[in-house]
Amino acid sequence: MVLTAESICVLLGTLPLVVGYLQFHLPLAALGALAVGLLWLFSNQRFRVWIASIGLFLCVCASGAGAWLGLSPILMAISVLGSLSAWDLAGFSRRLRRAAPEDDLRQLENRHLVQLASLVGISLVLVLMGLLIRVHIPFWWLILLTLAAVYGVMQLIDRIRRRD
Amino acid sequence: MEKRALLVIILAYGLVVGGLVTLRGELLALAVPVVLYLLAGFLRAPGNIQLEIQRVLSSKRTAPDVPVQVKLTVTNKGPELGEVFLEDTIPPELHIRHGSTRHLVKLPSGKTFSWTYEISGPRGYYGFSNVEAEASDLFGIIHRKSSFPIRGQLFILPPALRLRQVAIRPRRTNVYSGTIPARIGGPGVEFFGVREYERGDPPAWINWRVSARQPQKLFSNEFEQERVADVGIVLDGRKRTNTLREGHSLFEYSVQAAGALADTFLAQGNRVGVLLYGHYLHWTLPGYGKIQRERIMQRLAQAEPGESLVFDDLGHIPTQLFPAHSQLVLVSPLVPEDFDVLLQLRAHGYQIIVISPDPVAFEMAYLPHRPEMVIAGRIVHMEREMLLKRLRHAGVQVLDWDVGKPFDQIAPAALGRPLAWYRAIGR
Repeated sequence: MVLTAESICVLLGTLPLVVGYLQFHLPLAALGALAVGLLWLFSNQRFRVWIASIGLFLCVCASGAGAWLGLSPILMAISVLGSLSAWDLAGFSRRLRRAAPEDDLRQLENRHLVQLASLVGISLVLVLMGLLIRVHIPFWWLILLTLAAVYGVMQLIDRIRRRD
Repeated sequence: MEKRALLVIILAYGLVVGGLVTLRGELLALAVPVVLYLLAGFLRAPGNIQLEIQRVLSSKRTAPDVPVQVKLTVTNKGPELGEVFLEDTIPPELHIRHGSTRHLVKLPSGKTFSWTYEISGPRGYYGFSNVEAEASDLFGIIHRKSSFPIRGQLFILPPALRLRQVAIRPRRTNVYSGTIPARIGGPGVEFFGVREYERGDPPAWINWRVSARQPQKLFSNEFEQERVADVGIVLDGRKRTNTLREGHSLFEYSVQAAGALADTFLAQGNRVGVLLYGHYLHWTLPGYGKIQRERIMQRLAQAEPGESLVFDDLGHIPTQLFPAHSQLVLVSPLVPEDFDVLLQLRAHGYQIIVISPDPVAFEMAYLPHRPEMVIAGRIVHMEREMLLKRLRHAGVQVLDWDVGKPFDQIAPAALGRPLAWYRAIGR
């Protein structure tokens, strides 16, 4: 069940990119997205999590680039949600492989899928709201937000350094 | 921080910063699912893992390849763990026959989860150490690991072979009555001699034939008293004598024989000590009874062959550990250099039995049957026969054991009664 859901999510993560980039007459980018999708779909179980991580990174970057270029934001949002879900399910599958055969995997799977679906639903609603509702942010607020983001990045780097 | 969390954080920041820098709201909107995912993970992150774990083994001592059930009971004394991976760490030599050592479960607060698995393994001592628990949030972003030291031990003892009797005749016996002829007249079974009648002798003991030849005097039969004795078992754990080509080893057979002999001698009431001679000396102090049997079996369970420059030959057997004129049993495949040492021990007055698993027959069984191999095998076999013959001439009782046959079938015939000539001369 998880594998099927993961495959569907991979398609949802990459096909909107292919369609969006083809509509924008960027066949090479579409081909790249298709290649990532195929690689992800047919990857070996052993390397699945690594490929999923690379796939998520590429899909989100491609969606961001597409949104910046002016591609359909709905398609890009679907791509982000699909690739994020597929990446999450790849990690979940790996965790499930450590379980014993007699564990109640069906219950764990159902619970995970329901919660993931809820998250995707809420995210989709929020994204649609974000795309429909336009808020004008004053310049000073923008600077403040940028500074907050930069501070956050610095904190993140500091934490990573301390961990190493 | 987890790698998974790091990737999501980088993506979220990338989209937010990108949106702010390019002033594109779409990019900020794309960051929403990623940020929500991250928040959900952080909000549902597992708290401290507080588990109460119990491990119960169906048996703490068993025989090789006999299944032992291990039951683990885990009670969650802390907050709910949405997804927790539990794993019992077992020694790698043990095989899991049924069930699994690990489980992935949801463990609500106060609830108990228990499972059972079945293990078996070869002879040895196995210590159980930790139970590992790894909890994660629903999306696997935050992980928390804990290790719970739950000690346990399992002795897999050498197979219990029962020998009916092993006849020994050491020069010195102890004071308690047993089954070993003590060379002292008194109450017993075997005829020992005749002496003048003493008050209190039962009438059945009176030897009427001898008394008839001596007027005015009565003579009584005397029987040989039977007592217990000190027995020292020396288990040869030298790698060079036990380990043969391609990693094949005779040591398991030696341990099996030592265990069976110790068991039999103790069952006969003797005081038995075991010396493991190999990588180092390990001496199990002599003792009587079931507790001593358990001590010896546990020691034998842990015995491993080893190498040492000092104990490369049997010359360093500490004879002061064994009472003078007591019975020694050496379990060893033997090498030619051992002859002199055994001769010295014999000269010290020890009665010696050598149980020698035959390395030639053992090795020939798995070597290819080429003509040159067969000839080489015959030559080595003749050399060994010569060594054993010399030992027998020196008064050492030798059991040449082809390990293809079970020890409990070979031993009674060879060790059940002392040789007739040996009994006759009473050495």
